[in-house]
Amino acid sequence: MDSSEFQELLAEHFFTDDLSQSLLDALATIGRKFEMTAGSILFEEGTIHSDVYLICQGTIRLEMSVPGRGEISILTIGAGELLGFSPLFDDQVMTARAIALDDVLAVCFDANELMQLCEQNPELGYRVMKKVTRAYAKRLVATRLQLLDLFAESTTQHESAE
Amino acid sequence: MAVETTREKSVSPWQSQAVRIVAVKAEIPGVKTYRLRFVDQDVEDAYSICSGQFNMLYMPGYGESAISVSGYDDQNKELLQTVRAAGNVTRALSRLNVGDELGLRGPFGQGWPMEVARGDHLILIAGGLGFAPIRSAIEAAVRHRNEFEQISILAGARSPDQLLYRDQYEQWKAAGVELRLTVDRATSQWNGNVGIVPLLVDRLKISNPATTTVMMCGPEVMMWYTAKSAIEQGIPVDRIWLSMERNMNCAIGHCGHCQFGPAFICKDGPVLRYDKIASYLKIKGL
Amino acid sequence: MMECENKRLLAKEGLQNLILALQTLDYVVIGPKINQEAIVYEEINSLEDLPRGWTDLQAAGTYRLKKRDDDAYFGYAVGPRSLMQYLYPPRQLVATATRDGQRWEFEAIENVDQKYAFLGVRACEIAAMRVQDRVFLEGIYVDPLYAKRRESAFIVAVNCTMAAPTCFCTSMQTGPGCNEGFDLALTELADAFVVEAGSGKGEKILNDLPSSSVTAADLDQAQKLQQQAVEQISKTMNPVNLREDLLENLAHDRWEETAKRCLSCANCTMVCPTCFCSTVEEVSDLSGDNIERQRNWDSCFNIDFSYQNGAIVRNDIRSRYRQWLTHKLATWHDQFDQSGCVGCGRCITWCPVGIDLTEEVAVIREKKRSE
Repeated sequence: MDSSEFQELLAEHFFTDDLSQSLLDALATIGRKFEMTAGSILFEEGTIHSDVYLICQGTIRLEMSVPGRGEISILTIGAGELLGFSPLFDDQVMTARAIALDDVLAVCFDANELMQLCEQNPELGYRVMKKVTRAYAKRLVATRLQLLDLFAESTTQHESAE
Repeated sequence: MAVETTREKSVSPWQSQAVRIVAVKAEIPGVKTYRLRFVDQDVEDAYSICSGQFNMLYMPGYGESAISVSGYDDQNKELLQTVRAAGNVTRALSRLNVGDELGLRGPFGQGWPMEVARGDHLILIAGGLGFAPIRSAIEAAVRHRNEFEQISILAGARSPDQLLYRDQYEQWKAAGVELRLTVDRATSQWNGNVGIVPLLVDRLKISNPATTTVMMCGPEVMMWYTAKSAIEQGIPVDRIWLSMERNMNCAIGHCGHCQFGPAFICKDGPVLRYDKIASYLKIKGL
Repeated sequence: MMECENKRLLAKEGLQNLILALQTLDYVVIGPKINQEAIVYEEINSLEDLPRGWTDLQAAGTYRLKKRDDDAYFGYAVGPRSLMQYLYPPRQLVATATRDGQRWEFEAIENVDQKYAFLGVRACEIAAMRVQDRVFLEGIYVDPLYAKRRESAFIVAVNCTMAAPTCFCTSMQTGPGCNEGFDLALTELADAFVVEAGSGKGEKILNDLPSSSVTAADLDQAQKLQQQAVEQISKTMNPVNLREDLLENLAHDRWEETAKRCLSCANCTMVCPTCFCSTVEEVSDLSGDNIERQRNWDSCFNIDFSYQNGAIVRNDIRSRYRQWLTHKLATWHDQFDQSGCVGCGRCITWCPVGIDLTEEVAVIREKKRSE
């Protein structure tokens, strides 16, 4: 897509922070504007999907299917975040279904094209990997906090008077 | 040897007042909101409480429990206290009915700094039962809606059925506040956000961080990461307020139980400013 | 400086007149007495009750009484009890709740029955009372019973003429001489007491006691004996910057090491004259209609002192020891604008494993911010 449109769409997105013009231009060449209306499914769990997304607007619900329990939402993703990058390094099989909760606007890349660009341009590769890793490290912390079940009621019960 | 006391003679801080339950509302499993009225008219007339403060609710024979005020209905003179039945005192309380009496000492503590936040974008953040003290801030903010640039309520709970005060969300939204909810564990019917409370802060569009005030209450770990997200958004560390909790026994700073570093949560808190306690929050087992 | 005018000389037996005079004014006289091989504060009726000719041998984890080779009444340092036992008793009814049908009557206890005259109070103990005054009288809330007892108390102080190896009042600037905070102050000479009034109440009583004029020699002797106490103090702890030195080292290795020795037995908090932690508990009769709210001394060393919401915040001895020491020597400054320690050394003496807080402080300061 056009580099200036690329930068405009991602003006508030961390992914484009501190990237030189040449790197931005390089990414723009493989970037595509992506739009989806509320309720649409971006990808299904268990399928191979080669697009990765930088979300500019909208909320996406990630859900995983558990036999006997149905579709369980495990996370919602919003503007300024990444979607679909984790299969980038694996077999590109999506680990969750992604549904747009409202109208979504994003910039997407074909994962293979992005990886190829990173291989060709080590500096770009390094920066992209750094950003992706940082975002997923943050998501890992968030997932751990979810795991901690902080709002659960305490198991033992005793008050200071007795 | 005469020792001058620096205070005038006043009612003993150990004097409980009788209050009667006028209504009980079951909120979520194990949690009820009680509407209380003082039995004595004079006591009722003299009593006032600020959002963020707390009362010691007294169940004779069981003990007292420190409960943050959730609201005060000026018209009916009803005090709202949301209580989870978790220990001996609160379980005994949960067995009471409309018309029953209990004791009350209060109000105690430093409340939400509503005056200091005037003119700001006010962000009120509630995690789990932390919604109880935040509700009193919402009530105060909504009452003075035009004193705030903007009001956002961010609330998280374990699961959708654990979100408190659901029947009041529309009312608050109608009063001009933005409400965003999230849960840790969704059900298949839940169409809202899933994920921890700090993520709601990350996603909030904050036009002017320098004049944004955050007030939050929830588990300490949640508050730590929520404050982190607020700071990452550029909100100054002296505009972030936490309602802290520790074991309370006397509520008057004399028994020593509620100490958190230098602070007595009962009289220096429960609302404390982030920058003043950040270094202590980091210490395990303080 | 010769201040002869407000000082008098009291014969040793004259102390009995003082006790009687106080009793006549309805004071319950509390003074030193030997009980279970320690010198403690108890109600006394006559001079005979005092530990005449006895001294205390104190060291970390050690307390013994020993006979002196003279007949001094106050020839000892401090015992395990302090005046807190009377001013803020270990057990105190603070309120009651009485049921009448569906109604409850709540009452807070506001009156005290007795007024106390304390005999033999040391400078460090006066300092400790003033530390507790800040806690119970000068905060937002006043403890009504402490206020009444404190206001009605008559203090007969004693200037120390000896010091125990565990004393360090000079470092904390709380003694050994009594400068203020007393109604009468005594310095024990070989054959008499130099007595000084420190208040109108004290002056009045002194005027009614048979006494004689002090001589320059008497005053000189008193001065020398007080100086003797100063010189005998061997333990030090520099209070300058102590707050910062501790608060900047909350992760120091030493806390871990000391936790291995500390039994979390709470002795230190029980003997400390400034420790004020307590817990109010419900005491009910069988019917459940008559409840007493009893306030008992508690300790931050007790395992569930910090219990909250199903978990114990300070769940190991390391956290609890750190809490005690940093509260006493550091955060007390934030809370009350002064140190919580008066240098009496009781915690050192009465610790069963002999932990010495002055040594703890020295170690932490020596190796600051260790990994």
